[in-house]
Amino acid sequence: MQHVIFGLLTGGVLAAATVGFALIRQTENILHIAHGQMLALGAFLSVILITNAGMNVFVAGVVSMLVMGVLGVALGIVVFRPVKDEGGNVLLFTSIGLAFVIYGAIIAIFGTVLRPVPVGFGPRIEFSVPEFVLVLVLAATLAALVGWLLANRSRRAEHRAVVGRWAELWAARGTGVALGLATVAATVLFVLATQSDGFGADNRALNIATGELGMILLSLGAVLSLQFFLSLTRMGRWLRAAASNPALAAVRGIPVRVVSNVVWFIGSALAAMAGVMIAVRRGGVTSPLGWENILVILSAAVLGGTGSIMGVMAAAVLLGLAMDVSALWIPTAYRLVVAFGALILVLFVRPEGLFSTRRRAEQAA
Amino acid sequence: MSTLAAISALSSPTFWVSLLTLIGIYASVTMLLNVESGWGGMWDLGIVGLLAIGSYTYTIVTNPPGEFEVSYAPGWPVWAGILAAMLMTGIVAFLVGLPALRARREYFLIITFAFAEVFRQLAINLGDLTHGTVGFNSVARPFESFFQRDALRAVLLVVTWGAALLVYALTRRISRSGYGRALRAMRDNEPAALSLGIRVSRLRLQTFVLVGVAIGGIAPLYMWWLRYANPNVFRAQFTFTAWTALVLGGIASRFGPVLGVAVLLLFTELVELIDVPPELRNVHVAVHPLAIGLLLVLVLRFRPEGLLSERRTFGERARRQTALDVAMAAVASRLRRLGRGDAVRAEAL
Repeated sequence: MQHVIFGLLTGGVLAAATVGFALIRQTENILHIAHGQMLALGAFLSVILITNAGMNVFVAGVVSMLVMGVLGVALGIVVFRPVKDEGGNVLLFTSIGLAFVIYGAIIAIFGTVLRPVPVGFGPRIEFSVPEFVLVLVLAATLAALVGWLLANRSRRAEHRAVVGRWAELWAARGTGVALGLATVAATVLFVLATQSDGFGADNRALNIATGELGMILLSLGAVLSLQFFLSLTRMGRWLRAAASNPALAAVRGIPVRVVSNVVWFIGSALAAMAGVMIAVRRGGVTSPLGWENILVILSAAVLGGTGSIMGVMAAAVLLGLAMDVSALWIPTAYRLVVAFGALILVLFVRPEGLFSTRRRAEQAA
Repeated sequence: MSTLAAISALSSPTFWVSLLTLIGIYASVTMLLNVESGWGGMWDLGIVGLLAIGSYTYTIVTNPPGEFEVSYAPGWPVWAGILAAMLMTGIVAFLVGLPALRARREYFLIITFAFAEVFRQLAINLGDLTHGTVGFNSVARPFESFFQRDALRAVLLVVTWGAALLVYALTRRISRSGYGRALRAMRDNEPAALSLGIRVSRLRLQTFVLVGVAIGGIAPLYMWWLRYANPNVFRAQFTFTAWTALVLGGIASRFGPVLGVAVLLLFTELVELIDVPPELRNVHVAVHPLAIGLLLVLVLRFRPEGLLSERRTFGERARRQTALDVAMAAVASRLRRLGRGDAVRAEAL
C-alpha cells in the first residue's frame, strides 16, 4: 500500500520535468532529449550549493532553477534558434548532441563518483488508507471546483475559451473516456494493492515524510501556476498562440522570440526543480542521472499527449504510480520496463496520448 | 614522459590493428543504420539493442559449458554461434518492428530507444542466462587454435574488414537497385510511393529485419574485438556514436558512414592516448561524449548534409527552380523575418 505513496511521489516529482518537456515540445517543436541533462545539471548544481556553500535546500533549489533557466535561454538562442527552420529531425539530433555535450561537461566538472546529499526529510506523518482516500477525494473535488469557477468567472471570451480548456479536459469526449479509463485503472491498482497488504481502518498503514509531502505540493504548485500563467496572463496567451501557429502569431504582432525565450526559461527551470527533488529524494547524484530520467519523461510526455498541461501532469503521476505499484508483483529492477510497456501500449491504443484534446489520431508518417 | 608513451603507442601495430578493427565494426553498423534510417527514413535510436541481442546470443551459445554459472551454455562452435546470433536478432527485429513500424517517425524513434534500454535491463535481470551485471569476461573466438595473440588479432582484423566490405557491397547493390529506389521513395513521399504500388509497410518491416539480421552478424565481430560482454557495454552511447558518424559522414550517402566513423573514432581514440594527470582524469573520460555532442551540433548547424551528400552518391542534378519555387522562397524568407520579431516590418508588408 505504501507503494501508492511512492508512486505519487515519483510521479509528482517527474511531473514538473515532464511539463517542462511538454511545453518545449509543443512550442518549439523539439523532442528535447537534452532536457534530461538539464535536470541532471540542476541536480548537481544544487548539490554543490548545499554541500559546498552550505545553502539551505530550498534556497539552493531556487538558485539552481534560476541558473538553469538562464542557461536554457542561452542554449535556446545559441544552439536551437539557428536551426529552427530545418525540421524536426535536425532539431532532435541537435538536442541529442547538446545532451552529450552537457553530459560530457557534467563528467568533466563533477566526475563520475556518487555525490551524497545530506538533507533531512522531516518527521513522518502516518495515516490510514481511508484518510488517504478522503484526502484524494477532497483534492479532486477542490480541483474540479476551481476549474469550474475559473471557467465561469472569466468574462473575456478568449479567456473563457481557453480556461475552458480545464473544463474541456473533462468534457472532451476522447479525453473523458481516457480519464475514465485512467481512473478505473488507478482504482483497480489501488484495490489490488490493498488486497496484497491488508486493509485496516484504524491501521496507520501509510506514512509519508513531511519533506516528501512538501515535494509533491511544490511540484503540483509549480504545474498549477504554469497552468494559471498560460490561461490567465497575456504572456501565457502569447505562448499558446505561438505554440499552435507560429507564423500567424508573428503576423499578429506577438514577439515570437521573447515567447521562445520564456518557454526555454520555464522548461529548464522546471527540469532543474525536478532534478533537485530527485537528488534530495535519492540522497545523492551520479552522472547518468540525466539519461536515467529522460526516457521516463519522454514516455510521460507522449502518454500525456499534446493539448493540455494538466494532462501531461496527470500522465506523469499515473506513470509514476504504475512504475511503483507494479513493484508489488514485478521485481523493482523492471520499473523502466513497466514504464515503456505502458507507453507502447498507449501508443497503440491511443497514439495522440491519453489526455490530448486533438481527436485526430496520428498516422504513420 | 607522456608524449613518449603516446608516440610508442602510435607506432605499435597492436594499437592500429585494434583501432582499425573497431572502425571496421562501427563502419558496418553505421552503413546498416544508413540503409534503414538514411534511405528508409526509419530513425532508429535503438541499434545498440539489436547489437546486444546478437552479442549476447553469440556469447551465450558459444561459451564452453561450465565456465560461467548460467543455466544455458550449449557450447556450440563459432560458426553456429554466428548463425544463431543472426537468426535471433532477426527474430527480435521482426517482433519489435511489427508493432513499432506502425507508429509515426517521432514515436518509432522513442519506441526503439525504449526497446534498447529494455533489452539492457533484461540483460541485467535475467542473470540465469546472461550472468547479470557481471556478464561474460571471455568470448570464444575463431581460429584460436591456429593463431596466437597478435597474429590472431591481425586475422580478425582481416575478417572484420571482409565483413565491412560485404556490407558495403550490399549497400551499394541496394542503392543501385529498385529496392533502394523504393526505399527512398517511401522515405520522401509515402502516399506517392503507395500509389505506385510500393507495399510500404512490408518494405519497412523487410528492411528493418534485414538490418537486424546483418547486425546480428556483426555482433560476434564486436565480441571478438571486445572480448567481454556485460550490460554496461550496450549503452545508448554506442547508438549515438554511430549516429554522429552517420550525420558527420553524410546521411543517405554510400561511403559517408565509413568516412564519418573513421574521422570520429580516429579523433576520440587518439585523444584517449594522451596521458593525463589525475586531476584531468574526468575531462579525459568526458572527451568521447563531448566529441559526439559537439560534432553532432556543429555538423547539423553548418553542414547538415554531412561530408558526403546524398546527391553526390546518387548523382541527382539539382532541380531547376520553377516560378512556384521562387515565390515560395520569397514567402518563406518574409515569414522568417517576421518570426524574428520585426512586428513593425510586418505592417510595412
